[in-house]
Amino acid sequence: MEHMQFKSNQTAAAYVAHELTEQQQEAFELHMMGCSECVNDVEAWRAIKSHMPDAAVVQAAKPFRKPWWAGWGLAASFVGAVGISGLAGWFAHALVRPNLDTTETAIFNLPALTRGVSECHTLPVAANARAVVLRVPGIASERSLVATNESGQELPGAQYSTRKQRDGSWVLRFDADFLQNGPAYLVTRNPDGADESLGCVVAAVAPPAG
Amino acid sequence: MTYTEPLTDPASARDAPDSLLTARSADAVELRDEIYVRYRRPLMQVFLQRRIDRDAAQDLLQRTFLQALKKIRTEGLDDPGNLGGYLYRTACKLATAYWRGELSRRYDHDGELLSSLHDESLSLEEALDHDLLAKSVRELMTKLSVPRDREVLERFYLREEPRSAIRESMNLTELQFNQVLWRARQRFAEILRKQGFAGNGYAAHSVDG
Repeated sequence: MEHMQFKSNQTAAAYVAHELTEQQQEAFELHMMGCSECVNDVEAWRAIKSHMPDAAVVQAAKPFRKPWWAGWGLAASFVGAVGISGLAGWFAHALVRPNLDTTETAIFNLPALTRGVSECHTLPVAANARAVVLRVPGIASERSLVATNESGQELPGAQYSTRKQRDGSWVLRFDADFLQNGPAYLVTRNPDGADESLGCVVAAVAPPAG
Repeated sequence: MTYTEPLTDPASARDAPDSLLTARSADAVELRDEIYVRYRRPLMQVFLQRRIDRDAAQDLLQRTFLQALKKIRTEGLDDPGNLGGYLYRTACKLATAYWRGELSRRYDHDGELLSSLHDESLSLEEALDHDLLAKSVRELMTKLSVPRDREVLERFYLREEPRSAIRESMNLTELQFNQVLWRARQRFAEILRKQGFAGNGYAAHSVDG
């Protein structure tokens, strides 16, 4: 009977997640001493917990914690991830704006782990960069992402554009010259106008690799 | 709390703990093997649950068995049916001593006593190559057809959020939450089976639920 309760309550899963009280844990561990089926479950859940992939953490911070020439691998993976969904938009952009050579576009990822209200990230760009593309995941679905100046006014359309992707992340495109001259403040905004700051970004020319 | 829970696994129930002990005079080596094979996996989980790394846990595991076997040899157990409970208590005390720094770093264990122990019961982590296991878990995450299931698992195990918070934010009942876990466990069993791993009745048990 006890075994059936453990099974139906998914106790093995809760055990590995350290969710049981001291008494519950003791009862379950004593039960495990004689129940290979529950040991199997615990081992399976522990394996899942230990080996669970975390793409967000793997991608986190690399562009901002390492020199920019060390982050090209991440940038390449980012391009792969967002390229398909963004391609149509970029082609549409190309109709109204001069076509950008890919070497003139700097692409960055700004995951949640690397951003904060008080931080201003410097994005290293090449001297000939004309555009800076920034992907910002982890924005609550009801909020939108805008870029503002220091006084909180949204930047004009000539200096930046923003849009939401199918995966829920936001992509901002800045004029590289503008971003080199001063910071842009990232702000999430909900429908009633309440803002939440995500810090700011600024671009700076950095030397090429090698 | 008593230590006399019945063995629920039919395969392991063929030898009750007390029969292992009464047989010690007949075949001490076999006794050690039996006890070791039967209890090493749950005891390992007891150590891992207390955030002891695998190498240290292996050492503590050996200490646990040595202490138990010495006691059986010298004093015997008051209640042979409580062997699992006795081992469990010993393991818990050793884990506490480990975190208090009361144990020497390398234990000079009785080589003769344990030299003949044959590991016939590998755990999942021991039986499957680390990379293969990681691949299996990745496959599990990609094969969960409902995005909500992936989110639950990530929040529960990766970010270690309490289930109450997950349930509340995702509007899940306790039953729905457990169903997500059940589905994930089922899928994982299928993946392990596909990898050719059916050790210790893994896949069969999990499919039965």
